[in-house]
Amino acid sequence: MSGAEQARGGGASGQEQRAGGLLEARGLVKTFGRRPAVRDVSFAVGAGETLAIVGESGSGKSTTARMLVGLLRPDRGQVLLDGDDLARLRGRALRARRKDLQMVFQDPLGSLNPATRVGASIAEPLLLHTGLDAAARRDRVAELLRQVGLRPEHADRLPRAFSGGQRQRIAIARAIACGPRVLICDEPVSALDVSTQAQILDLLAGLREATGFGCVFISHDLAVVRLVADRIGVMRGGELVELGPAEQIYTDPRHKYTRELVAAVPSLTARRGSHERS
Amino acid sequence: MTAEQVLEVDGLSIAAGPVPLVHDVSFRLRAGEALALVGESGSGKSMTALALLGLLPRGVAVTAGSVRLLEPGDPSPLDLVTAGSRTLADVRGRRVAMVFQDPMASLNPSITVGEQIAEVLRRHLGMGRAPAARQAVDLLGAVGIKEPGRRAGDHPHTFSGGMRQRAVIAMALACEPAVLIADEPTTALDVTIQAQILDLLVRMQDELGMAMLLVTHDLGVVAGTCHRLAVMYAGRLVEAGAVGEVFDDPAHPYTSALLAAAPENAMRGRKPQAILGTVPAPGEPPPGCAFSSRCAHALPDACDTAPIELVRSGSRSVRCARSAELRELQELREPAEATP
Amino acid sequence: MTAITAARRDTLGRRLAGRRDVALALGVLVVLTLVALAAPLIAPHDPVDQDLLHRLEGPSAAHWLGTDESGRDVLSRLLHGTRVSLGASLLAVSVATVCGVPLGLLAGYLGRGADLVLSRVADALLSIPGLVLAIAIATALGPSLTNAMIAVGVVYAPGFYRVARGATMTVRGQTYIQAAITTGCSTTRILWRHVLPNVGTPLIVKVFLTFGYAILAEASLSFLGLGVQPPLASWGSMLKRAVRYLEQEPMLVVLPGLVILVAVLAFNTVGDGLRDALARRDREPS
Repeated sequence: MSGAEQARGGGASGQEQRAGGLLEARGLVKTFGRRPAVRDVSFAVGAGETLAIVGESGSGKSTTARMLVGLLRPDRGQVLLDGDDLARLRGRALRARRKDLQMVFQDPLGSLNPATRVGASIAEPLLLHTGLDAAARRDRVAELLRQVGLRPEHADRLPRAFSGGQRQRIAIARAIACGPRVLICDEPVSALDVSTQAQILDLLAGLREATGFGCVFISHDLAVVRLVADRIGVMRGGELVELGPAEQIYTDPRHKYTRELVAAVPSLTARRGSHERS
Repeated sequence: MTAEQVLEVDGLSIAAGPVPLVHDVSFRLRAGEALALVGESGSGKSMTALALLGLLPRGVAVTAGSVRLLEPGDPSPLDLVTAGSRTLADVRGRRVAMVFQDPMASLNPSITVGEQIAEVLRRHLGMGRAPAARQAVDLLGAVGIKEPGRRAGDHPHTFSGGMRQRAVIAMALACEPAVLIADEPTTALDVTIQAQILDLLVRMQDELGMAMLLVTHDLGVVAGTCHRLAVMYAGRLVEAGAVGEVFDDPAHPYTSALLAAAPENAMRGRKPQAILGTVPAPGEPPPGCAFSSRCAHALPDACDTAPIELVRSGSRSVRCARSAELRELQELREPAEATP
Repeated sequence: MTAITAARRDTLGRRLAGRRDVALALGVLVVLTLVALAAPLIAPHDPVDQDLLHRLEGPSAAHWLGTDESGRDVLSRLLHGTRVSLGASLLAVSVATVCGVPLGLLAGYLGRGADLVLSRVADALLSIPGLVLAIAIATALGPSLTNAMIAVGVVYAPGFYRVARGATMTVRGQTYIQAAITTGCSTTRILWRHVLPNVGTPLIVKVFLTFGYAILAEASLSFLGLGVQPPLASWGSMLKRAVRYLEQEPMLVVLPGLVILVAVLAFNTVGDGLRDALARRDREPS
């Protein structure tokens, strides 16, 4: 691994000792009906840092993500952005604060309004949170499209004219339009073809490098987060069973379930015995 | 000692109206063998699989080729492309079974799991009600469902995703088919469950000696599960061969790029390499190699002017104008650090 | 599977035109609309001009479709009646849309309490026979076509409410609504910019189907004397007066009856065609 990678890893473990971060989850609890979805989950993310939350379906990782961005209200616990409790905010104040906390969703087609041209989708946060006039917004949209590897003339098309990877680029352009401090990515590549996944991961890593946002990366796949995460939290049954520096999770997992997860990643070097000999 | 062939696909072409989706695909399946059909979305792999059982969506049709289902001692094999709907209905589930990505879509939500499996047995094998029900419970046990006697009376929605896929596999294997077609059978499942389902498929295949066609986009799934693989790109086969040979020494730049893009590389400390560009839209095939616009090794004239033929040598085949020289230079292998 | 959609990217319009009955019905609607707009220009006579010397005459060079019991030109009255009937139906459909759709969006999006209350009100309205309610309202407000059609609009509003609510409930679960929330959109903006454009198509189908019913309702109310007041003509009021002279001049009944039949059929055919075309589009894999 590169030197920069190593340095980030070191910084991450330092941050863990810190009392708070840019975004902090404190004792989050959410119950649906009688089924507890998230029980007492706490972690913090610093600026420029990526925390991966890994777990399988029903682990509570998506519920946690939705509480972080305020799509769900926790039953107990707090989400602190720069020390401010988001749950205390309502209406206009909450909407204004959302500009600092943006989300990229799993389903890149579903997360774009099919009836809206992509330029208008990307411009919407600019319209809501900045004083830019129409011409300035158009310029900014063109710049954002270039930044995510698309062309300015793509702004006039509808989402269905794009491939899955391109749609995810559009969704990312919308999410970073107002320069968020934290980006929550909920399985951003699991709906994409393998050949495209690495493109999107590279894009996200490059943007983080350039703008320094903190990132919470939700995934079911330990292999996918291997190269983007500074720290990894493993969730199961609504609990954070292990949280540590990425390297340690792979090389020296403490929890039995983490070991199972690491073992379940398919190996490209595994081979099946020949059927003719058997 | 070569096992007997059970399925022979020859020159299969599929089109949606005037738009070609799959072009001239051929492969063979032998008893006990697992073949992976690998490709990205839009490669035509799913269409190929659906065509084998006459399950193409409306507006999509086979335009050329044959799908022969062979039986030992049968001098006139059945061509599934030209077979009538009644023949196909008899073949489906009895001689060729299919497992889809979404197990819930394959199960009737209003009928108990046991009854659904029993129904397959009664329809295809003419079993009586009681023996079919007993056999259904045995099958559920065989695919690893705990307390099969009790679970047989439950409806599909009470099963977890992995359990549902096990039930679907039990239903598919009920008549001990000669061929099992599994279309992305683990894509919708959790990582730990995926490993269990793949193990189950391999075990059942060995026990029943059937052939398996595994359709997937995920090379990580192929590695430990299949004996051979066929890689499709933009509706054509671009490479085929034994899994070990192809993975260790890919002959087509696309195969090599797919291997380098696999996220599993990260687990070995290698950064997955993105394949730049996008798959060409169907209906606008470039004159030469369809991958040339994204290929790091493409040369003008050699690759993008005339159609490239699929060249066979032994058990390998490859469709690339520069394959021989690229392999000579070891350009397509992954960088050293040697795989075990 | 994206392949097929991309390969056969044909528009809804092309699909509709492909069905001959729908194309024909669309043509009828275009003609009716033009007639309604241009009635004063193309009508050969003043529709209220009486000529008592030429009552109940058959077709002639001066009066192509003959004259009615007051000697008025039937063709001119039919042409002007188109304007009145379609205008009245448009009013009813507009009232129904304006009352039903916003409430449906709100109920579908907010769910819970708002949905419960609004849906009960809609159910109550739906449980009353439509025409009877319209008659009651029209009687209370006084017999005028405007009042009657506003009443009809109110009666049809629950239908629009239900379609809008149902479509909104499906859209509400979509990721792009969540994306809009996390972007910082207000509820009004979400409903207006993100929900409405995506529930528009079933509502358009509903508009066409309801238009057909509204024409029938106008005819019925005018036939009962609660609609258009003399000497103005609508298709329904022409029918009402003509019934008295059924034996002397049956054409007076047949003509407006035929026009009503054709108009209602045309609206329903276009509505059905639209619905089928949309259903086919939605079934296709994306």
